[in-house]
Amino acid sequence: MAGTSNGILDGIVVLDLSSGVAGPAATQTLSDLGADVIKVEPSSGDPVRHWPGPRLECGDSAAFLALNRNKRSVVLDLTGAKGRAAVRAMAGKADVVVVDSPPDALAELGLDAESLRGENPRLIHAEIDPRLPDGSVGRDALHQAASGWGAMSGLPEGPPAKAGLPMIELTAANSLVQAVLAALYAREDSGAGQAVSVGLFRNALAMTYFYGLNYRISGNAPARHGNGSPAAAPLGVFQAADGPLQMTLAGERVWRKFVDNIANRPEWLADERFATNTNRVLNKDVLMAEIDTMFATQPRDRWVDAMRAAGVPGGPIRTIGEAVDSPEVQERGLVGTAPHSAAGEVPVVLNPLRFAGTPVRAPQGAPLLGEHTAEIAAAYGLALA
Amino acid sequence: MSGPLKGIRVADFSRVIAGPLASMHLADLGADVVKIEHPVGGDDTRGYTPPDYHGLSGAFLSYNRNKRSIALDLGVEEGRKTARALIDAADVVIENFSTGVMAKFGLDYDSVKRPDLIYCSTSAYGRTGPFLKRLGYDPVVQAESGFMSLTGHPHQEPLRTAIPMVDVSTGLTGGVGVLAALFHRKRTGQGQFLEAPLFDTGFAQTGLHSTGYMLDGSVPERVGNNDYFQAPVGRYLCEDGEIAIAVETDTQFVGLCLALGMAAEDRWATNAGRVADRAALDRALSAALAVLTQLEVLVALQAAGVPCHEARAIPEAFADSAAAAMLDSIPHPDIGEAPNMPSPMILHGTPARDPVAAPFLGRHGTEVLAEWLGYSDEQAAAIRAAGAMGAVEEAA
Repeated sequence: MAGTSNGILDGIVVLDLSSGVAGPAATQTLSDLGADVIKVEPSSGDPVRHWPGPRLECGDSAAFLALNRNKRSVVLDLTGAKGRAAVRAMAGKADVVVVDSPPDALAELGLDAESLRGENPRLIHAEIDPRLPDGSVGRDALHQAASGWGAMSGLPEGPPAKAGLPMIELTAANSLVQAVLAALYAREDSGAGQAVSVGLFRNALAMTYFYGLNYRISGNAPARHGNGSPAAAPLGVFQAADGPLQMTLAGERVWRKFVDNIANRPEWLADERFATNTNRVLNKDVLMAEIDTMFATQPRDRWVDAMRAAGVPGGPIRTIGEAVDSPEVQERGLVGTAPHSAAGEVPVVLNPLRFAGTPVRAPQGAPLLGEHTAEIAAAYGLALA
Repeated sequence: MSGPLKGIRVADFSRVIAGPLASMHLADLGADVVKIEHPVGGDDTRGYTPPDYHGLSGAFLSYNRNKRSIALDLGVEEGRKTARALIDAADVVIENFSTGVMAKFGLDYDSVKRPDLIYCSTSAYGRTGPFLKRLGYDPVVQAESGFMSLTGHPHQEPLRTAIPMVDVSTGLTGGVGVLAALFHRKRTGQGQFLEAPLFDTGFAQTGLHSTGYMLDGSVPERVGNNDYFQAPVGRYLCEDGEIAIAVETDTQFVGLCLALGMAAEDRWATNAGRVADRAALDRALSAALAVLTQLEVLVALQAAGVPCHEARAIPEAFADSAAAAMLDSIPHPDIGEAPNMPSPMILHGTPARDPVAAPFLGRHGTEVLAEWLGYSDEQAAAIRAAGAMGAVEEAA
């Protein structure tokens, strides 16, 4: 890699002691920005390597590929003195260390901010704090449950539904990257690193945003509205002849566009039941049924094309496969391939950031377990045998 | 004002959620963020009422902490000139208008660029390419990106998340982009144009599943409150309440079975086996939990080292003492104080600024023009008189 720049964070060394989703997602973004990310794993590997579902012949899961591109993997046993000494030696030369264990466990291993920064004051110690309100450790699903975030979505008559993606961990990852970048920025002037932290529970509370604030302002517990809204109609999920679509009509202008260009039902504009948003909300059941009947007569693309042409917000509800194969993903170049040591090449979903001056680096597939142990041991003078 | 971004000026033309969230995180980190709003009504989220707190909506308070507001009419020549002057005095510009709007005002990157300027567009489908004109909406992108197909219960309709999480992710990604660009500028003096498009961000976060589809064509079905990759994970009803369980290891699963007196079937010995038999496992677990109280379950599972927690809705969650300690109120210059949701970031070495709640519309026009541009009160009054700067909104 010598001689070529990997991007904005070229030359920044990130020692990644995390596993699962949040920490690895954060360090993957740092690696996209050009950092040299060294992933430290136990001999059993990051558990995500073994998650079920699609996988490579070498055994690594697609989920692991999605969270660990561009990294180098070194196997170290942190329960042993040698492994801990090796990690401390590397942390002495690193710019950033990322951890996701609770503070007492880190302190026991000597991997807390105080210990590591004592030996390397330029080090940025970046922590995903996994603790739940009672002090026990949990990942995404438990933070969704403990914070109330996971009870906000769902059909009005049914149970809550958590997000289908680990959104608390994925958003925590982005906030941790922001904190690390801010600390790197500050270090340019001060020369000093610092400890930064994103708590999963604190983040889950933050993510309730206006649901949480509205409750604190009004005292009214938020209700679940499914794909609809108590304040606007018609909006939500509809079934076209060949699949579901999503339509969001809020405001009179869009309603008129819909009636004139999509529904071709000019009589609706004169219909007292649908004359205002308030009336449409009151007569939502009738209106939604009318629209459902209409949408069922034609394929989804026909409706969506007409909506886009008329400026009516709506789109197909795609499966993951349909999304990958969609014109938006393909023509915008949001997926690609990357070289991989065992598989030759692997598919990747690319970083969404587009810098005109300093593009994110060309992707390298996720590392095999311990693929770079010897190389890193040599570079850092580690005695691992 | 303190924080690592102290002294960085951000001219923020963005509205609604994605852009304002990006700039709020920069403001949390100490940047001087000036929010440029239309004099009539300002940012749309100001109108997301009821409820309101002395005239400020929960949504507006959620995404506009630590900012100052100036009300400029960009449809008026004097308003555009003032906006241009603010950009010329800024380190960072953030905007999320539809493609072409900033160009119409002569405020797009090509019109205002200079070597050290960082200009971030949180566009919908990109400022270039075949979809540049298409408008962006969180629910539409949740649908188009495949995200929505993953949320909701099996055999029920797909769901969007109540909080617009594509907007949120886009705002966070934009914040990452601006911070990276600031670091680059610190080292090289060079600014740049960057984009965090709504669609691209919404799709990228499906990588856990879209990577698998590209490998072998697998298309995931919805799993409700279960998890795609680990089992058992879910929310379960006890006799008197709801509990969430998220087993991560085989050892924890054995502990769970022992604690509940549940038969540990051989086919459930490994995570892969449990995920494959997720529905049957869930039924067995639901039956075992239904006859116990929430407290009995919590005590038994915690003793067995099984990750679990009371499953709560917002009122119970916010009443927890650990949560309440994070749900503070922060000072507001016009109404004393306002409730606040915590910033997820804590930086121990560069103390965060003392937070200030979101401003009333146009509250800081004269002050910002003086500080950033050196304008006198008379000059500011002339801009106001030209119809380019709105009046200052008052507390309700």
